[in-house]
Amino acid sequence: MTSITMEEESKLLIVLPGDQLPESGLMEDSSAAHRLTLGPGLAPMDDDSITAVKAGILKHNAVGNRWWVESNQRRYVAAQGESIIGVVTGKSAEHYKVDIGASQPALLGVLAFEGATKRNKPNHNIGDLLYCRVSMANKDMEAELECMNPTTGKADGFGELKGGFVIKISLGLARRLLDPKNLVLRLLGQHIPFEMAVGTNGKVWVNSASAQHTILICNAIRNSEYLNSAECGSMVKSLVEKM
Amino acid sequence: MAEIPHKTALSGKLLTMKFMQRQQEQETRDKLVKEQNRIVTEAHWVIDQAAVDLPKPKFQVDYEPSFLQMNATERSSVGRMSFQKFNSVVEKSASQAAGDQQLERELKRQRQSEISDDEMANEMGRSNKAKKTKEVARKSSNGGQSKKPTTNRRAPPKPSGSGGKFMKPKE
Repeated sequence: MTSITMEEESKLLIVLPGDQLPESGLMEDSSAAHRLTLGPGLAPMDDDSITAVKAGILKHNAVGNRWWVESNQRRYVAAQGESIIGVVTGKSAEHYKVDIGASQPALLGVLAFEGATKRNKPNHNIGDLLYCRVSMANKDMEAELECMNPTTGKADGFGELKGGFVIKISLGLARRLLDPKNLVLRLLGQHIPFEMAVGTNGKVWVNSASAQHTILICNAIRNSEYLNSAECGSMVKSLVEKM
Repeated sequence: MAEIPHKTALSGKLLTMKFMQRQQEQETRDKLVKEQNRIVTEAHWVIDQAAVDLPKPKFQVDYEPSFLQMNATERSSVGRMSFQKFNSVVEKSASQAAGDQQLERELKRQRQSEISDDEMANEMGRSNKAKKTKEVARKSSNGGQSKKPTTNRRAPPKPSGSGGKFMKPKE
């Protein structure tokens, strides 16, 4: 186990599993509180030290003294509050079984839709695409989903996704696509009219007027994983010109 | 008054009656329940708190398993997007949600830098005391010029003329 020295804020701090975080660095912001919020990738060890358990870049947010490791992987682990794209694989009296790409299928209650009552149930078939929200997830049980905003009770964009095409990407890219400052989607939107849904479980749904446009958008998204903003711009331009 | 020669013994017939039986059954039931409770509580494991001296953990840790909650400015939870009016419903709701989230973030950031009323009162009490001793010390070294810039967060500065001493009203 190696210990990390805290460097300046501007440098990227890359951690490997087993790297301990120094206590002095962790207490920079909240001297009195000693409260810490650990995000994914960090875990406390038996000797009261905080250790990284995933490889990636150590990130910190002063609001709430949050620390986490920005890592990448392709297998999704359900977490509460995330929006995901799932495929219905089974139906029972009170639940739909939905495949979300995690180790186990998730359960979607039949009444967890906007305006659903026992008499007015939505009817989804096996193979349907649903954009849902994870309402409960822990490592011991199957995740539970819902197709509505829990506070308002309205659909708010959740529900069935009709038509279109789904591609599988890594979780890190999916999170970057949710960034409001993301460049690829804005550039594509300037040239092509389309709609899309990003699932935090590494699935992206794209729908546009023609198959050619859909293929172009999917290729652009896949290519943009390791490109910086300048390269992104030129990549999108070259793809659009070929169309 | 005639003395009772012996304790009243209940006759056999009385004992066979239903209401007497009920009392008996209640008693046996209570005894069984008590026995069960005793067995269960004895089977519980208990740590002898005095013997083990656990140190207090250095940090109080909250766990957050989702990346989306970590850095709210970088992630928007608006997953569905539409461009060039392909799906007008989605576009409208997406822009509305984005506006709401921006507002929420700004408010959160503002609230981070603010302090509650109790803390403010404490701060003012503390700074008043410190100011009194500071003013007296500076007066002696400065020679009467003690002006301080005013901010909203600190106690209002004392008038420089008095120097911290109580001025008697002129008669």
